[in-house]
Amino acid sequence: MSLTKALLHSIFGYVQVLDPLTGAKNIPLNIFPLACGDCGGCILELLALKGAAFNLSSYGFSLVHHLESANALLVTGVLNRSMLPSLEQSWATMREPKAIIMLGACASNKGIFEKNYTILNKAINTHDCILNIEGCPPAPKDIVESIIKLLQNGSNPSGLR
Amino acid sequence: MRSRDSTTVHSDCKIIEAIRKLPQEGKFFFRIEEKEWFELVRSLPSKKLSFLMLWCHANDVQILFLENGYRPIGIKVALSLNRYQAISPFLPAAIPYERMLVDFLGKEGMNAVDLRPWIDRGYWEYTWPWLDKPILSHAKNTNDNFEELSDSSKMKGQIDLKITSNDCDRALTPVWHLSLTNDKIIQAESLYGYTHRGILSSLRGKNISECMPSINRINALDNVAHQIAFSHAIEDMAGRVPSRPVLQGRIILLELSRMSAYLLYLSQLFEGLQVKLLSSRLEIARELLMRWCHDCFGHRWLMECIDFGCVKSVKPKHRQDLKRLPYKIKQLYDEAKALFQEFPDLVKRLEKIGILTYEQALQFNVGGVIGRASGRDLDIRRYADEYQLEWLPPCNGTGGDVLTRVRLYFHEIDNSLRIIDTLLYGLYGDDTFKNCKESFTEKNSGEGVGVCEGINGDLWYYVSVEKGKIDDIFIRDPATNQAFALQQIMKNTLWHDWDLIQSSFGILVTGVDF
Repeated sequence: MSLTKALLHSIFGYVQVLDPLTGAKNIPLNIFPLACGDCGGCILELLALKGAAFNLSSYGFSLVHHLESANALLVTGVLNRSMLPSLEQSWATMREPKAIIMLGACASNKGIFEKNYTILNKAINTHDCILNIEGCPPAPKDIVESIIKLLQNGSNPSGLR
Repeated sequence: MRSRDSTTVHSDCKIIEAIRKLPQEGKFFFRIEEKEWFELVRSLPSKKLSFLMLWCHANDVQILFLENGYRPIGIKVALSLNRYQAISPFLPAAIPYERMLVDFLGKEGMNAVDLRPWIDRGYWEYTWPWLDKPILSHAKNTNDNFEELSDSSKMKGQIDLKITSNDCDRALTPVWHLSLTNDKIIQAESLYGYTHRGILSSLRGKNISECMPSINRINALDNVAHQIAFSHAIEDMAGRVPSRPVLQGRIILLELSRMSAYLLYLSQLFEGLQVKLLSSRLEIARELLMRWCHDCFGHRWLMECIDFGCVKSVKPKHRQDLKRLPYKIKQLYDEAKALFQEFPDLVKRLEKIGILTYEQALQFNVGGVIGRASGRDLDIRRYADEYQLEWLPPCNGTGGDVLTRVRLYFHEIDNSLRIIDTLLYGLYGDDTFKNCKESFTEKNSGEGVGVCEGINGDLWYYVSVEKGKIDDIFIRDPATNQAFALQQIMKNTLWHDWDLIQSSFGILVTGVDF
């Protein structure tokens, strides 16, 4: 038994391996996170999943380092003008099939930030958005549960095109 | 730096005296004429007067200093044809603030060291958005305003790199431009502003009771310090001091957030070194701490826990849990600390890299752990009555390197654990966290300054309130000065140390970009 797993067992009790539950048999979800106008909360909660406190490899999705290997662009923070070119470029770089996941209240334009010279008061293209994870910021557990629920709903998440 | 002209400068002792003789405007500021300002600038730097922040309101440039390291004292000087005498030639700590003035308002400091954009990356809707009548921006894309080396100073084999935050492990790092020869960084510049949300401009004109949600989300990691500093500023404006239990309740929240941030900084640093034995323990300890915060205070990040004159109540069913921190957190942390000392070659790897000298820390006004690791004895908590002196034994390093910073992060976590335990166990009854919000805003006009020792150092708020609405506000987040200092020390370091040095400074982007 690995040290990490031993630690998890001793602290949280038995951690259920969720692979059989996800249903992501055909298309594994490879997520590339991109922080726009973020206070740091959402992105840090997401990146915490990569750490020892969570067993990311057992959830049926992964966080990837390169856009070329991603099929889901996860956006955190409010959509601002300074990150818009980067967001568009990231989306264009990704290969099909691809989709967007919005993480946190700001990304879906339900946060506290109002329109100003740098903030656009609109949400990211909802046509491509397959999942909207609520919370300010959402806890890692909520992020995992939302993504697993999405994967359970079908081996090919409906919005993935 | 320029040398002083001895015929016109004020001596260290006389400079404050000279300022106090000027006509006073409001609680903190003294009005100075342009000619006198020229003379005063030449008296800088002064040991008695340290630079804090610089911004613009109406037709004035406002510069806030600290008298003897703690007491705010300000200067107002009228702009002359949109220009003012810059102080950056004498006080390098002012460079980012002078650059911000150009970003937001197009006001130029005469003789300023650097006037390139600090956070305006050329994508905003308006050029100089804080002007009364801002000018529609034409896409100028100053994105790549890297200070290029001239062709003659370029070296053989030089490689120029642009490192973006487009990587999941670099989600909260600035864009870097580096020039390297033979693995040595000869030029380094970090570009900020990509996560800018225009929070300061949106706070202006708001009712003070509506500001807290935005304040909470300036910087998630340091949100407790922001809540406290803003509350202190409003309380200072109102001339009221919260009760001692409220102040001590805030200490608990602040030290919890400090622990959480430093556990994250250390785990990221060790993760980068692939020392997973340490990083995994620190990550789990942090996650357990955040869960405990959620159970007791209703929020993992402790957002919305502080307001003017009060702290949030604890859920009644968790009052018993609040008597002490979960044992597992301390156990994991202690194990990590012991492993840090024992792990082969780890200390050696961190030694003598990324050195910020005492002189640099002073020059760029770097405080917090980074400043203390370079020998500065600066901790704002010591000035706060609610902290007992024995809780904060001076702990400074003189190395200024990554190792000293890491050791101080550990020391600070030890300190926070002791403080939290003392307060939870010894001083508190069930009514400590009672929501005792009183009418702290009966007086609804005036000025206030608030301060809090946040995760990156001393965080300052200046507010001016007019009939309950924010007329003027400026925030001095220590991350700004640290970001500037970080790019200075990157020069002449080795490429393979670059990531490690950056990690030792923690996360600065959200503190710079708000």
